[in-house]
Amino acid sequence: MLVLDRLALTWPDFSVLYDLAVPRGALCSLIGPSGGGKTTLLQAVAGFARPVSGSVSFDGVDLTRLPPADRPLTILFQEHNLFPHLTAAQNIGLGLDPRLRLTALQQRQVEEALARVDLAGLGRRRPAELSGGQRQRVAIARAIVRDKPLMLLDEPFTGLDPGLRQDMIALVDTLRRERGLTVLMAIHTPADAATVSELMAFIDEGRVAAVGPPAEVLAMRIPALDRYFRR
Amino acid sequence: MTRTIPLAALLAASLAAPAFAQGETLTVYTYSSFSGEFGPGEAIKAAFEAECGCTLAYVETEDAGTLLARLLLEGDGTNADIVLGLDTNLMAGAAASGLFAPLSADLSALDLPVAWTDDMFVPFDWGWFAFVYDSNVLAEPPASFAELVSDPDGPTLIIEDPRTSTPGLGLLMWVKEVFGDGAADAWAALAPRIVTVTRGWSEAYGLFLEGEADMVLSYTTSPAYHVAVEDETRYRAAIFAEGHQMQVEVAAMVAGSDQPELARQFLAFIATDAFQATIPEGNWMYPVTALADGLPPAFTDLPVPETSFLTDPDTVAANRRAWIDEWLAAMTR
Amino acid sequence: MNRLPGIIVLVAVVALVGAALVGLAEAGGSGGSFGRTAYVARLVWMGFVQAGLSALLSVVLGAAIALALARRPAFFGRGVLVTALNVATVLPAIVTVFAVVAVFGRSGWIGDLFRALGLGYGSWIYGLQGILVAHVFFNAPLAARVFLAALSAISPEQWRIAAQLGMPPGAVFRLIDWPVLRREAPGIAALIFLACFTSLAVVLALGGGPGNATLEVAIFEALRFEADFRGAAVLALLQLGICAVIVAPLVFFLGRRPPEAMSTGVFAERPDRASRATRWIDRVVLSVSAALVGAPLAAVAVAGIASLGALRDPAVPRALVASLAIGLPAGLLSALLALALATLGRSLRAKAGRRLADGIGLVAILMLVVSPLALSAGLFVVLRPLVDPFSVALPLIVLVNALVALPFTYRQIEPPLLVAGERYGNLADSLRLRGLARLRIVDWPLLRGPLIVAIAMATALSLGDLGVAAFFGGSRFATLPVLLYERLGAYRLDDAAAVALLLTLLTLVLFVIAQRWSNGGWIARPR
Repeated sequence: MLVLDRLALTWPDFSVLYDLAVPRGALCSLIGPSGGGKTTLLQAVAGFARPVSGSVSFDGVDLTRLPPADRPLTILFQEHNLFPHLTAAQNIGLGLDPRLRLTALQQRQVEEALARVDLAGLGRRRPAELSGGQRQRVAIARAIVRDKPLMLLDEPFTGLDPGLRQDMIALVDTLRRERGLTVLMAIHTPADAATVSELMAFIDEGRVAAVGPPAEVLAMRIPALDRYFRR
Repeated sequence: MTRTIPLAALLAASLAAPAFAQGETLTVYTYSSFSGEFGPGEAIKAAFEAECGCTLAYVETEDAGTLLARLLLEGDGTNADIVLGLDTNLMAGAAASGLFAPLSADLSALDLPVAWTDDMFVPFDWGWFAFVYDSNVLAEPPASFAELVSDPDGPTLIIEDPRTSTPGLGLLMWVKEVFGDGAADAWAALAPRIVTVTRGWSEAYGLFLEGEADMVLSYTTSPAYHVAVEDETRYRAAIFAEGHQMQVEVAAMVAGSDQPELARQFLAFIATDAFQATIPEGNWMYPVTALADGLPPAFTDLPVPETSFLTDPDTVAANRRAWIDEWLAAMTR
Repeated sequence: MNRLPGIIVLVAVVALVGAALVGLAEAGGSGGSFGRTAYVARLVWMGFVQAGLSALLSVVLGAAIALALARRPAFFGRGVLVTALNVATVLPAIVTVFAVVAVFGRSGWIGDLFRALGLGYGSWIYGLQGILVAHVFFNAPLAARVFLAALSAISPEQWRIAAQLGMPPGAVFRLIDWPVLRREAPGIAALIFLACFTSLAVVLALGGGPGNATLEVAIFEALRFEADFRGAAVLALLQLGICAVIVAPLVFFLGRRPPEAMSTGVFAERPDRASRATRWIDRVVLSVSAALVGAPLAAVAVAGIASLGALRDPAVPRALVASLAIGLPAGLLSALLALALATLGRSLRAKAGRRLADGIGLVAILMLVVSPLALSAGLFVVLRPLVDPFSVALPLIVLVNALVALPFTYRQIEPPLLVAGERYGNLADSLRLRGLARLRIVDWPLLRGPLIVAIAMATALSLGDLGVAAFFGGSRFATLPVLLYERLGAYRLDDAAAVALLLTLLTLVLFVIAQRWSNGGWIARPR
């Protein structure tokens, strides 16, 4: 279970306060307007932003004070998930050893991960030589080799065409079922996520304004949601 | 960008001020420290303008070397009527250019340690090269050049590069005058004690005053500055028994001058008291004539070498290259 | 339309330099200065050794300083240190010589310290080591500025990934910093090499003997002692050729790939800040660089403050005005020339290939080895039949200074233009944004900071110029450096020190204003 308990962060012109619980193995999609606080929530869970109060815990372990590298999670950003001067295989290898000194066994793991995301044979390419979707699959492959129980996705499929976006979401869904991952996925096409998510959270003005099964949340008649869906 | 406009206007205004002329204008090319704030140029200009009823305009270059280069680049079309500030080392090259007019000036008033016979260039000041030291640091300076050279534990020196400065070239000639064929060995013996070889006199003298060496190649008249301006007597010039090399600074009239009368008048003016009295405490050199009121007190106390060397300009021109190569070889031996 | 200004500038610059050198060669002289092959070869070799070592040391120290500043975006005194580093890059050579000697010389501060401790201290500063100290003093900060700008452009996501992966500091350096440093190093090393190859006053004053000299000495000698204009022109061309041969491989083969990372401008903390090792390394690097740069600057201040009264002389404000009247237009002009060339280079890089674009960079950087003295003299000869050069002295001085500063302004302006091209090039093309409109709308936000720093640097370099102003202007344009030399030449060392301090303060003000207006280059700022 991932729990955000009155997790508060403040800036001079903005403050947020999150309460959220996601059961182990569930996929929770985060929807809401741009600037509403989806990214900030993910950054706080990942440890890139420091809360002033409250806590975040996973399976009973308090993560609030842990440095990013010690948290049991992997995060994928919208862009720049890869180092541009390293090859796809090297970018994946970093997930096994941040010094990039890989054993033969680890190199095989990298090849397997590449195959798992349908990129077999493309390991020697640099990010600039890959398409947008291929780049994000490399990032997912790195998440696979890192083998962390929690996965955070910050709109990583924005900008892909609809079919590809569906494929990627399906890939994430398959992986989490295979491995029992808990997934938090910010997305701004709620319909894409509805079928695979157990939970959907509507984030607005720095708060979790609504949370529940997707069908329920999408049907709620609260003003902020109405504004978001223009209905 | 708009800010530069008032600045430029201000600059233009400050430049325009001296342009109001009365009658004819005599254009004198000289080096900037002569005409500059601390040099004798302003007083000379005022005195000559009062005498001639004309305007004297200076055109300055950085130093004597640029002065000649600029004149040669301008060639026949030069605006200069008078060139003032070349020295004997540059004379041969200047004479060969054919840009200067021969003249029959009356040189009888000249009072130099050596006879002056040139019929083109008129000396306007002179001095002896010497090693200057701080008597608080160096109690007993060498009494001769031979002593300076022979003592491996002798004083450390800063000198100027003969390739880039006239004092440096003067020293080269001096060593040649004193040691003749032994000059290379003398340089080799001096080399370990030469702290550095600077581009020009300013760097050398500055480094010496900062305490970087025991002695610096300058002039016997340098201590007079410290006495007269700073009331400081610790700086002295070492007088060498063999004698001292002279530097003589000269002026000449440009052949194509459109003011030949004024130019001749100015060359004659050089040997008058009105010009010469400004030299000692303006250029910190000796005047070329005996002054009516005598030398300033700071100069009368200066020690005077018994023997003077002045290498013939043609000899300098003919051997400069070879002697510099000899010097380079000896210094890097 | 986009290319025309660049083509005009390129043709004009090459034609101007070519005409000046040819004109000089035609002005007479035996050409004998060039004939002494062994001597000239030795000068070239000595220049090669000291410039090579200077460039190597400056790049290594500059990289260390840049890394330390990148890892420590906020500490007490960071702003002061950054300003001091900036000022060091443009201090006039003569001021640097005296400042270095005041710290490291026989009677300098370190000597005083040793004697106070009862230890002996000799003049170790004269020789190759002294040349290197002075050259590193100028150039390590220059390299640091270039490296830091590149390190700051690494995208924040990269730091977040590194943090999440738990990359140790050594791996951060090897996998993230090193590729950036390696990309930038050849260009900045070439720039520093050329600057040191043509250094004259520093090399002679601190060289300790004629064994340390540069080809510039021979050019100086040919022009001023031998009136051998042909020899001077041939030597200047030789210097240009040698430098082109040495530097071309750096520019063409090791040349910078266009920057790949695109910063979103969001600040991310580097994960290697907390490690004990980097803390100590940064402490040492920052202390050493602060001492290396700060002590000589403090020496300038100490010497100048003692005789501040000398600044009451009316000649001083006049010189200040003259310096600014030359420096500001020269700085602006230099930046505009660089902008035109860099825009042309970018357009060629996109369409006609990299080699041609790199060639433009080579032309810009080679301006550094066109002897300013030979250029001034040559322009003088060429212009003389057309117009009285002294009646157009101010524009000429401004032009030559702008050209001399071109390598530095180009280096500052080219990278942001390339980044803007990478990021928005296609968008701009699709909207048919061209010429000034593209510059204003697309490039300006990224260009503004570096452009302002470039203008400040070129202005500061022109303020410190002695030779060009003195050649054309004499005391009509008695700039601050001319005034400084005049006072030195008149035994007035204290007055000269006050002028040096004023010149340094003026440079400092320029950079403080530039840093404030640009917010950039140096400052990695948290949001």
